[in-house]
Amino acid sequence: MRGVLVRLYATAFAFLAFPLLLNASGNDVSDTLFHHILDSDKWEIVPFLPPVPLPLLHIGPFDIQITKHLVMLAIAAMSLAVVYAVAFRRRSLVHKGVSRNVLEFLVSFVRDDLVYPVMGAEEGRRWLPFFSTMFLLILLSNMMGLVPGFSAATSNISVTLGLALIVMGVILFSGVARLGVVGYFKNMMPEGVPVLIGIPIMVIEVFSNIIKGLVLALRLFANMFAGHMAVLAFIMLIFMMGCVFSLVSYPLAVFTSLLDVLIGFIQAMVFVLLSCIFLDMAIHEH
Amino acid sequence: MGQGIELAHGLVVIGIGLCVLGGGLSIGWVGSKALEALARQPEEYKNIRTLMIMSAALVEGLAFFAVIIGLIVALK
Repeated sequence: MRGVLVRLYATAFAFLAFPLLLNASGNDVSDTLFHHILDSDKWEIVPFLPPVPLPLLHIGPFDIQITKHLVMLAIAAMSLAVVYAVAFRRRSLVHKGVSRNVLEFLVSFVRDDLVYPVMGAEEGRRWLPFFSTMFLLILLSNMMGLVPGFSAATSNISVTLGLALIVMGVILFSGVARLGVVGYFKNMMPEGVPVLIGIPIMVIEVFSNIIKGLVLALRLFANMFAGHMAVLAFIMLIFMMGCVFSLVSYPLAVFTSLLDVLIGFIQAMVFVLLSCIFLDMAIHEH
Repeated sequence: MGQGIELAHGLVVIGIGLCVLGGGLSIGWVGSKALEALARQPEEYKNIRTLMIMSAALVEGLAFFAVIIGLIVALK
């Protein structure tokens, strides 16, 4: 029992506090805290080596700064593509291999628990590739925040806003394609309502659609941001209140990290579930 | 001037606290109601779980909204 505790403390120290030790000396605590969560143009891959500067690209009239979160998103997307390619290289239904089993588990979770119950099997079949890709990308991005040296791309509001904009665009275009422009807006009005009341309702519905998208982005961002901030805040308490506090802080930080795994999964699930429900509302007449 | 800003920061923190209090109460309410529904109809656990997580997420979004706005105000 004692050995397990010692090992737990050593692991927690190595994973959580070691990279911070150098930065924290001589810096303001809140500066260090935000430095590790916010986006930057440097990538600290290995804790004690100097960070790798990321390039500033000049493409046409635009100056594009490659940032840490951009790299993380690219890594998540590319590793997903590679895992898909490796997993489905063999078409055998018996010898599946680890990666394919994991992928099948996740995709069938999305299918059976998120997409099909909301949209039904016929409609859901068409949308499953989109939603399962969304789910896997968000899940992988969330989980990357827990790996030392990496950070979660979803703890950046721009990334989540981009994902939410994709979802809102898909909802708008598929709704218009299914029901026509007039039908799409008519769908927002309840049946048999006089025009004088119906038009204000329609305006409110348009605004509520926009707010839905914004809140979809904000929820994912805030959860990931707050989760990582909580872990860091527990660690920073040691620097503020002295070494003895580590006895309290480390278990709390480990607990919060484990909670982060759960929250990362639940938020990916909630994002996909809510976009499913919004899409279902937009493409069906009611 | 300095005192006014400090007062404003204090008020912001109280506001965040109230919002999170509301969020916590609502999530507890959602959970307790879901548990009651689960006890009444255990075979419907899948739908109940999905709906519970969805409602909890909707509430949580509001609480986080308040926290983020508060952070933005407090750090200015």
